[in-house]
Amino acid sequence: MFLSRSAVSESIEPPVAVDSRPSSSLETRRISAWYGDRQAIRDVSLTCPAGQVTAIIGPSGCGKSTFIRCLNRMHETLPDTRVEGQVLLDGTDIFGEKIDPVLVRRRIGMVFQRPNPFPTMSIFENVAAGLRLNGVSTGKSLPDLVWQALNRVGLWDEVKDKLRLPGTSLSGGQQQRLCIARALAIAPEVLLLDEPTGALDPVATLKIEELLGELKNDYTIVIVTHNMQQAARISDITAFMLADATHIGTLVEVGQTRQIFTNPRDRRTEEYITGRFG
Amino acid sequence: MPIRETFDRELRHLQDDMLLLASLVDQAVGGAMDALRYLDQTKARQIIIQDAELNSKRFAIEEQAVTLLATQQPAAGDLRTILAVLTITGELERMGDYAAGTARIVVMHGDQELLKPLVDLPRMADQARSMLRRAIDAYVNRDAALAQSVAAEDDLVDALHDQVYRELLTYMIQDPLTIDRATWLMWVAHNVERIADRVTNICERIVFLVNGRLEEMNTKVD
Repeated sequence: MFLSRSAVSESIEPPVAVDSRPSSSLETRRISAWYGDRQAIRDVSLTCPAGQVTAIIGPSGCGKSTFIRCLNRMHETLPDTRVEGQVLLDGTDIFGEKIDPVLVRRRIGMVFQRPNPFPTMSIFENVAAGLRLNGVSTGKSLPDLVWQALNRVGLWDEVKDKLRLPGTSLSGGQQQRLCIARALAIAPEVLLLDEPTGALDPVATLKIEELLGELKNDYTIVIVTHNMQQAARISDITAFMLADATHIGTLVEVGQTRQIFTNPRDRRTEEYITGRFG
Repeated sequence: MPIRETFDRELRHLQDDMLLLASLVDQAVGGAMDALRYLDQTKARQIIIQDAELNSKRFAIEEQAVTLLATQQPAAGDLRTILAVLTITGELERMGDYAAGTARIVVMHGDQELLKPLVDLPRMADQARSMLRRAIDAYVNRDAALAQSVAAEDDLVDALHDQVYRELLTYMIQDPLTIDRATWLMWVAHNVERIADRVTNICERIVFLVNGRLEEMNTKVD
């Protein structure tokens, strides 16, 4: 499935059309991860349903960033690291023997905290880069696909007259939306975001949150955030992680966001979200 | 370590203000019934004037609550606490209104004698006050079971209300000259019955506060 799939052949339809492309659910089964001998997370089992936003919250050191980097096999790109357990994308384990991690990352895209447009490339090239790198062919022309991606993130009108300018010439919020466009251009099914608005001002933050609310119709979104109010605003499901006494991150509680923020089951969740954790 | 010391203090302050309001309302309900029993015009006027104070206390509590909601982003138990305070305060203020309404009936009586010595109406008022005090205990101790059992006592007040109503009807049928005073006493009975209903609403909020569920406790068939 991973070896033969051409992701962009199911091309992204323009936002105005009714878009019925299915997104895929992501399910982890007892994910544990190590940096050398040090275990960072243990037995995290979590389902991120298709077409919904799952937020992962928790204090610094709880392992949430480590966890999200396991979801598209980014963790193993660091030296001397290890992952155990399964991550099922629509039922298929991305850690399977014959699975190419590069193809995994095409279907499960990632956006990081610090906006990181390719510094030597123009706005146009930044979006096109993913398409070119992945050698994707499609009925649509490259400019069409770039337009689609930029339009999808609400950036087209702001950049249409300066596509040749460097990606880094944009504001922080725009750069981040550019990075999202770059990730979307290759038509992933899942979008992972690790503190995507951590470096942005409040207005840019809210624009990204609005965008994520729209994108969840077509993608499965998993977001790590230390901003609890953000998690409350934008997610459907919230998962709370905490490092245990041995400093290994575990999943404490997961549930509907509405329930987590009005009546969590675990005392530790209540303490964290009421700001009494210390 | 008190991480949110300021917020904790403000939350305590908010709840203390609500408990004070509850105590004032309890006294107003008792005072209004005493004024009626003895046709004490001075006391009645006092209760009417004091109702304005109850109203302004209610608004002060609401303002505090809104400020906390806007500035502290409360979640989970803190959020439910503030919401419970908001709704309970509204119920308390309405209960104060009913007490003031009873006091106004005393004023309307003027020089006229009571239709009959009051027995059931004070009993109703005592029951309603007892329910209020124990509901407040349930709030302070976060005792959902107590809240539920207090709410169930509303049936006792309803039964007394029906009894009073039937008795007053009898007076009116026998002697049309009693209609005025009998009607006033019916209003008093209605006021006290509504006070007990409001306590039931407070009990619903206490259960919500404790376990996050909103459940109807007023099983009256209208």
